[in-house]
Amino acid sequence: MKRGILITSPRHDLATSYLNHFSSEIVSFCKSKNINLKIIHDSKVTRENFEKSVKKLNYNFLFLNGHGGPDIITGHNNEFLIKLGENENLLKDKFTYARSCWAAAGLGTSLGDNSKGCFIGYNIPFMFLHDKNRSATPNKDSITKPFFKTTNLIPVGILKGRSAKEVDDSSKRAMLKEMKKALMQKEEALLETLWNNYVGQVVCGNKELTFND
Amino acid sequence: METINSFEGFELNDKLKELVVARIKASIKPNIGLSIGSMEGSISRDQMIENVLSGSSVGKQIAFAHLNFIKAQASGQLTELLNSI
Repeated sequence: MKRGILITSPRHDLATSYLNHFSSEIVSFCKSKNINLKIIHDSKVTRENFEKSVKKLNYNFLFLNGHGGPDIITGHNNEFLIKLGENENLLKDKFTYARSCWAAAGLGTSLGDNSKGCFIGYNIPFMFLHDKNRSATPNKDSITKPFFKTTNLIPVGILKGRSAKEVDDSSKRAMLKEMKKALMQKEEALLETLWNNYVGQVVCGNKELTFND
Repeated sequence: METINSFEGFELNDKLKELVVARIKASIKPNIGLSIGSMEGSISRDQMIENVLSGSSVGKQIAFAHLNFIKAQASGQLTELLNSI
């Protein structure tokens, strides 16, 4: 396996547009550090392109943005990229972070505790709030930023060489700080939605895995 | 961590619907949208309420999240964690 990151970034509805927008921080980080990077974006996020890239590049880190379910992670127009029972072996021995709903519940746990690979994801729906008046400018959307600021710490931490457990911990600590802020500002909905992601974020498989292994 | 982390057997009864709708009305401003669910883009406050009242899959997911939060508040788990940082 080669050291590098493959990012899937569909953009066919508002949720995926936000995921796409906030993933740009990871792209900039990779470029600034000369890390091998492949982005599959927009309508190119198909199962065929994904499988081809995973096999050809053989990068050790997959950062998957998109909708999902316990057994699937999807791409453009919700075409599945990974499906349990069909092609989950693509994740074998790799580092995967799936910023999507539910996927840790099935795909993550399918790795097993003795796996060399690691899957960080959510075993409940990943949720975020947004300001409808800021949909065209997500960067100015103060209600949505805490969700992405805290979860972007996972891929950035991985790329910096931290272990799965360390990046999960640092992301969760950041979530707690944002929740504390929300509590002080009486933003109950923000607090509650961040709590949902905090509770649902899990590490499956090898918790000590690093990008440099 | 004591929480509800399985969706299995989760029932959205009328009392819970009433509670969740009241909480949504109290905490979600009209300009706020929620991205939730495996195949949904984003939904408005009114759509959240509609989904909870109809007992749809998305409505159940919203109620499930509310219940998890209430449980964490009541048990002191949330306060303990927030005080830990």
